[in-house]
Amino acid sequence: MAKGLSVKGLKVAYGNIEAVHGVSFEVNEGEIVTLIGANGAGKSTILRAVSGMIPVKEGTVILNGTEITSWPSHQITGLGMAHVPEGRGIFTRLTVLENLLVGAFKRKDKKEIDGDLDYVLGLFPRLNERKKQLAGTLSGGEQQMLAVGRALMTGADILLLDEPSMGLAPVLVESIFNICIDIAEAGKTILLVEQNAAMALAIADRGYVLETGSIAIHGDAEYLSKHPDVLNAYLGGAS
Amino acid sequence: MELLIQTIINGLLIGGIYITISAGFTLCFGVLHVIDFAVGEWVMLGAFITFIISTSTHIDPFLLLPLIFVMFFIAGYLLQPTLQRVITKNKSNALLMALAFTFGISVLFKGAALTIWGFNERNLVTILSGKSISLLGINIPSLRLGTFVFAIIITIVFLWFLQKTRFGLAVRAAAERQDVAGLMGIDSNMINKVVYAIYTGLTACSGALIGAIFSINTEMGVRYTIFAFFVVVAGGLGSIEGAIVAGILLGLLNSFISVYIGGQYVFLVLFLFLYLILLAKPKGLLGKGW
Ligand SMILES: Nc1ncnc2c1ncn2[C@@H]1O[C@H](COP(=O)(O)OP(=O)(O)OP(=O)(O)O)[C@@H](O)[C@H]1O
Ligand SMILES: [Mg+2]
Repeated sequence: MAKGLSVKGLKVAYGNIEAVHGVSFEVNEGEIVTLIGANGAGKSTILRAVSGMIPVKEGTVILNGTEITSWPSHQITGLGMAHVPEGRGIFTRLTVLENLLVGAFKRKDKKEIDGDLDYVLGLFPRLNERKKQLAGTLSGGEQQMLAVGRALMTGADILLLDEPSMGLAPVLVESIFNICIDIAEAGKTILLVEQNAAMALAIADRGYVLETGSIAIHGDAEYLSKHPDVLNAYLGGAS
Repeated sequence: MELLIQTIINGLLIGGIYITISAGFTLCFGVLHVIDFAVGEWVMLGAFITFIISTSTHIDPFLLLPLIFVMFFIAGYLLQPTLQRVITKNKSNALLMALAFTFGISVLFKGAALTIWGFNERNLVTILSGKSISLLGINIPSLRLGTFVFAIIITIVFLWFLQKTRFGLAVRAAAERQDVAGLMGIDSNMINKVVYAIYTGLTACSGALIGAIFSINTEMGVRYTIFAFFVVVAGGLGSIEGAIVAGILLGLLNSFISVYIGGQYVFLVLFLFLYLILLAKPKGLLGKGW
């Protein structure tokens, strides 16, 4: 069975208003794929529908060969995909360590959990220093690391990252993107949603450009970063 | 001096029971975002069911606590999905819908109790009833001490469950963000059911303890609904630590007002206090509420 995520003809609506109008894309094992688009294009909506946070109106979502369309998110967890939501969604009243352990809620194998915990704390030494601290007291960048670490704790191989660079200072933005590269090199698959198109295309293998709920252009990152429409709309017209 | 110490001890002892009621009530609010207007009626039902079982089986009410917990746990577990439907049907007014629904439940419970059991007062008798311990000239009724100890044990087990178990961790996560908890594999519908069930179970147990100290009647509920509101607002909405502090404070206030001002002024003075607390600390005594 092909590993990865495959979405076909996805439509999502909020009440009567359709926000995503039949979107298809694929994320294959080992790839970094980016989904870029302006504010309100529907990027977060797509991720939420894929991970079962909101219902799918039409279309199919297939994860590692299993159709999971409209499954509630708690049933999808543990099948190999984790979603780091927009705004991080940290449990502020839990400690850093507890946040990470919630990520492993569905896992039984104590050894594997401990192994992943060591891996995550090694990846983010700042979290290791602040293990006992309430997560709400972390800085924005640290919270983003925690959100990614927590997703890794679910044991997932495919990560859906919704604007990990949001609200971060430029230096931190760069380190978050470096972390994405590290994680990908460790064998994870990443679907990266970004408004920071330049950065996203720099690290991605392929990309999709979303415009008001439909995919306008897609292709290799290299091709997209030279495409005139992408240059004009998302890369500030720079040549 | 002796009267003062006696008053303080009485207040602390009764405060233990208020902690048990408010710990569950606070958790219910923190996780489900439901303010249960029927809280006092669960107290009343807990007291009555304990009375009925105890008088027909001659088992001491203290020994019946586990059974009462299980019975009311099941009742809450079965009722919660209906409550959940009411809230999710009208998301924008969830808090109001929950209040209306639980108000309806409270009227229903009280009406049914009145029809079945009438207005008569009943007394729950335990092995500790009527006995007392004398310590340095202070008289401590064994029953109050016993109920206090039970209330504290129940509350500690509850806190341990919440802080130290895997399920408790899931509850605390869901209390903050049900959608994100879902992404972590936590089924929030199940959490909601269990949390409501724990709350009804705990509240009914408090009812049994209260019934052992005071007399039981079908009108007793309202008093405890008001007390629960006092504790939860004074302690800070959603803060369990705050509820513990406020529970003790409520016990002490009750005791002092009854002795030094007069029992009929309890609610008046309580709400004056609540007003002052909210003015000085709008987020509750410990400043940890919403
Ligand atoms: N809960 C909601 N209820 C109703 N409409 C919504 C809701 N969430 C999003 N929308 C609408 O759906 C559309 C897509 O929103 P979405 O959040 O997916 O955009 P986005 O591409 O993630 O934007 P951004 O880059 O600002 O995060 C927007 O028009 C938005 O107003
Ligand atoms: Mg978004």
